[in-house]
Amino acid sequence: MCFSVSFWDRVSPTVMGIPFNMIWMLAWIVLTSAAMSVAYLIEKRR
Amino acid sequence: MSEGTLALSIIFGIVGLGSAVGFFAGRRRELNLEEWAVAGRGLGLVLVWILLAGETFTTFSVLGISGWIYTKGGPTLYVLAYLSLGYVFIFFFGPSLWEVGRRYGLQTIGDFFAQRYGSRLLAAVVGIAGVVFMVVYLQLQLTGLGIIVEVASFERVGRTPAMIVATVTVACFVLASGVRGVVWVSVLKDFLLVAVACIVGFGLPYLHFGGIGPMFQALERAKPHHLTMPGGTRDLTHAWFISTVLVNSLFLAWPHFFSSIFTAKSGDTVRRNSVIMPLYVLPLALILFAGCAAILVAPGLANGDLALLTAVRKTFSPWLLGVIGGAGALTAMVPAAIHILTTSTLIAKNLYKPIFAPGLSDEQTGRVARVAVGAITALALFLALNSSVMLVGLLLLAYSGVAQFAPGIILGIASRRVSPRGILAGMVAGLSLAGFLSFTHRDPFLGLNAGFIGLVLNVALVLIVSWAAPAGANGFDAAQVPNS
Repeated sequence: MCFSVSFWDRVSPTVMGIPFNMIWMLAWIVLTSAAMSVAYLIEKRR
Repeated sequence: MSEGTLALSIIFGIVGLGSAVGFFAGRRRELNLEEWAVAGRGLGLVLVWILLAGETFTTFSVLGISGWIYTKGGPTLYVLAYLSLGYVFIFFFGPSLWEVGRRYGLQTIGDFFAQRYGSRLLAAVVGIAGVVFMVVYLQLQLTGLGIIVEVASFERVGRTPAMIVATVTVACFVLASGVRGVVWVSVLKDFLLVAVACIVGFGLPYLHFGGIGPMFQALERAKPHHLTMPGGTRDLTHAWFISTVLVNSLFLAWPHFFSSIFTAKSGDTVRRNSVIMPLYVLPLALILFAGCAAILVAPGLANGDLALLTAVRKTFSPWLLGVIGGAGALTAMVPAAIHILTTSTLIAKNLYKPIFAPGLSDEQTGRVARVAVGAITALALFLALNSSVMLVGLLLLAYSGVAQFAPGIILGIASRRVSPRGILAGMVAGLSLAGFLSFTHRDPFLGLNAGFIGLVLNVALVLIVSWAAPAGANGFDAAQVPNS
């Protein structure tokens, strides 16, 4: 993921009027939380 | 009532309410060092969340981020990335940190290094460097507070008196209530700040451009390359972005952040917090939108830090500016309080006690810490009022500098092979290299963040020295709880 910056650092296509690089970052914030909650639930079950 | 008076009375009302909350939060508890520094390790999920949010959402988040997107554009996105990545580190290492903290009665980052590595020299290096970085960061909060109050009160209150009044108030409620007082002020501050972020983040684009989409279209027409990297800069490229995100995401090594992990009532509380914390970064996006609007609404400002407030002043009525001024003042005061508290505990426990008075009891150490509160506050205030080139250099170094503590923390928990000498060698070399590059204006170096280059050298030395001279005893194997 780390080296993918040059692929998503662009303005178009815009999503809901927000430039692509911003919406990409925002999406990953939500996905980070989601991924950690899945990891938390799996660990908890063990 | 004139606009200035209205805004000013709202600012005073909010700051007064916040300070009152801070004073009374710790009133019913006996305030020993453990309660004062880590709230007796008794905070639940919500209060820890608010404390961590209080530390993450600083004046930099409001003025700095909007200022960066105003002057630099695209590279500002690093803030959104490093905050969420940092909580992934907390997810993995936070619970173990909390566990050793409880077992050995650790309160500060210096305690951690002293216990794990059994090296007083190492603890002292961490203590001194930690105190320096915390004090420059503290003065940054005070400077931000001065700017916010000055602009929001329509220049009715000058920077200097605003800083002095706020700093003395902060020192008083830190003395009165410790970290618990800070948490309760933070409740008020977070509520106000999220409200303010929504108002300016949606309000500025809608009032001036008719929506967020049209605003970005107008911006793209006016300044075509501003929103991608390197934006308004020459050297903040993708390589800089990646290295900076990695370095800054090690924010668990900030002494105040480190200590706040210990305020939780269980390791599970820490872990659940790290799951939800990234979501709190979302309101920062609204501050980014507001900063983008400011580029077109308030063009041509030399100082980007003033961009957001200037745009708000041009757009909204004075009472809202008062609310923003009050919320902004609290946004500086909460982190300032945490910095004062952590720094004075570090000085008392990890510098004064081991060097000058090894036999000090906890009660006496607590008293030294309270004296240190006065000293630290006065020093930071002095620095904020007399900014210098040296200070700017130290500030640039602060984030790259604390990252050099991270190998000692993370490897100290995750590995049994690392040796005190390796950690010390790596840390000193990493700090020196990052410091040299910052002070000689070579940051970014070869397109990479100076802290990242320091960190590479740091980790390399830790591994080489630890391999050459194997580790002795691991302080986390000791069954006994020493010196507490």
